[in-house]
Amino acid sequence: MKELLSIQDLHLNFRTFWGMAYVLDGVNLTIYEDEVFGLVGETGCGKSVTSMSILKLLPSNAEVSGKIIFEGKNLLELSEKEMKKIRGRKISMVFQDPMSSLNPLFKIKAQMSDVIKLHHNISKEEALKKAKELLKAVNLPDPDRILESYPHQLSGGMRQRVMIALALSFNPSLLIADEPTTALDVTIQKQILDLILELKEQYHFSVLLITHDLGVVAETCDRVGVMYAGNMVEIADVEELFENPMHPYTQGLLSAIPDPRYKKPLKPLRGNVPSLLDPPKGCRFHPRCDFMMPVCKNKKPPLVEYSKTHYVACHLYGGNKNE
Amino acid sequence: MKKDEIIRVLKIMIRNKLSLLGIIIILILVVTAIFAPFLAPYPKQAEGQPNLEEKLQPPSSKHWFGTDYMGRDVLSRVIYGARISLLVAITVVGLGLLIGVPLGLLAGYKGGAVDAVIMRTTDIFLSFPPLLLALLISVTLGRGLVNAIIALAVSWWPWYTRLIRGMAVSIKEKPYVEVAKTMGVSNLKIIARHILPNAISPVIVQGTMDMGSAILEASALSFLGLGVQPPTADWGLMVSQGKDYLLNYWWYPTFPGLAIFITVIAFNLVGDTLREILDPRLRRRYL
Repeated sequence: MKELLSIQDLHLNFRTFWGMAYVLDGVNLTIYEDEVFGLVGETGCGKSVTSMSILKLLPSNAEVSGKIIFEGKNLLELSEKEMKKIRGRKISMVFQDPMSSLNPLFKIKAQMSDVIKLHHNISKEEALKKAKELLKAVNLPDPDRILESYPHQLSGGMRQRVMIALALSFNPSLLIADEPTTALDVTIQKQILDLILELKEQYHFSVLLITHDLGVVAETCDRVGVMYAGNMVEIADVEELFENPMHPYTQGLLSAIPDPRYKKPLKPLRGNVPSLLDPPKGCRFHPRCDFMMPVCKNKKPPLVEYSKTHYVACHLYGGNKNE
Repeated sequence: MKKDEIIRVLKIMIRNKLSLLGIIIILILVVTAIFAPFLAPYPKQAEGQPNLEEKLQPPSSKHWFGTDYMGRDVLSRVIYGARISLLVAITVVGLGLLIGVPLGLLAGYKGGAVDAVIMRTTDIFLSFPPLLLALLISVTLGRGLVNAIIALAVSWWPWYTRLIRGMAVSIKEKPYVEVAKTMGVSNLKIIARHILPNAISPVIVQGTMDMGSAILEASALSFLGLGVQPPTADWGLMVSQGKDYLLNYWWYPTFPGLAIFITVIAFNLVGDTLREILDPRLRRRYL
């Protein structure tokens, strides 16, 4: 498998009124061509911020360091002008809230042809033709009517399909889907996820799927990365992760999924997500961990290769053998 | 706004009795201003020619609104005054928008130092009572209509800058702006396609209402002797000259005063209805 995107030791801090917030603390991940990589974690653990760093769309109070290698280039070193050629063309994004991802004032027709004309140097008629093709590709019935509609005349699922069509208009090699189904009904969720997988087979792009829904992960992803408080704690193939979760945080997440067969009480993780303004030293998870060892308080465990398909950042698994 | 939306807004405005009244008054005013030489019974007197034999005549069939201290027909002068008033309303508000809107968009969208500089500048302007600032500039530049318009526009733009900046700040956080950025759309295009169209409605409303206020303030400047100079016919100036005659010759200041009053109300009626239609919170009931 060829590497498509590789994030190496990504650090991200936000200067805030209350001091520095250490949002990402050395995130590593690799996405290969033609795969669906799931990124899971709680709200505020840095999933979305990781994706925005890939596109370099961070607020001005952010400080980034590390490397984001995409097609041989370090995105963090590219100029704004070069980034504009990558955004939308090479890497595009689908957002959580389809209800407000379209400008309410303009018809779908205008919004789609605007975007298409932005990168392809073509006439308005050709852009509209292309828009119609894209709408057909995302299985929207009656594309002519959709093109003539305003966003408020479409349902959430339809709008998300329009957004996916827009994101695909330049055959990107990476599609970042930031909780693409969170705002939708369960039945529509399934349809949208299937659509993304189907289009992926057709257009051959990789997907970075950001979600907090482990069900979605199990259903769609090839590999999964688990994030906790700005750290990547575990990366594994999806079956492997569900069968053999290694990091105590991942174990905690999985045991918090209700299982209707047993009706046993859920085991929530104790404690709260740490403040990023003053994160715990060493392993950021140690104050909540049932297996905490003295070393966890002082030393941050690196993400080590446990097997070819399984990486974990935890002192329990020999990361500290050489100490 | 798109064509069909403008048509829909117009339809609603015509269906609403009060705004229809406002529109009719403004239309009459526009027609009056354009065809003033044909409508005024004594165009020469309106332009300033004295007619001393008939000075301070009460309203009669010959002079419907009476005559002033130089014997000039007040009706003719009120009709000619509509020209000045409309000119003032359009140019003051137009100039204010031209300066204020781009600055507001820039401040709201860019944020940071740009925002701080622009907004502190508007704060300086807004810290003066509005008429006082206009007076000050007008005194500095000298008397006359053009200078009065410049003075008013300069004291006017910060209101639009503030209004549109506030809108821009909230709109730039909207997901569709974020989406546009992830698609590689340039900042200029985002401002033109997303921020401006979504931020403009309150400014349209404010601008419409302000046309009335601009007329009122221009009249105030004329009243104080800083705006339009005699013998040009201007409502504010006529009220100013007529105020000394109010007790014995009531018609002299009353009719130009009424003209100001009715015009300002007309613009406010239209502005109010526009606000109800364009304000998203009040909009639903019209859809």
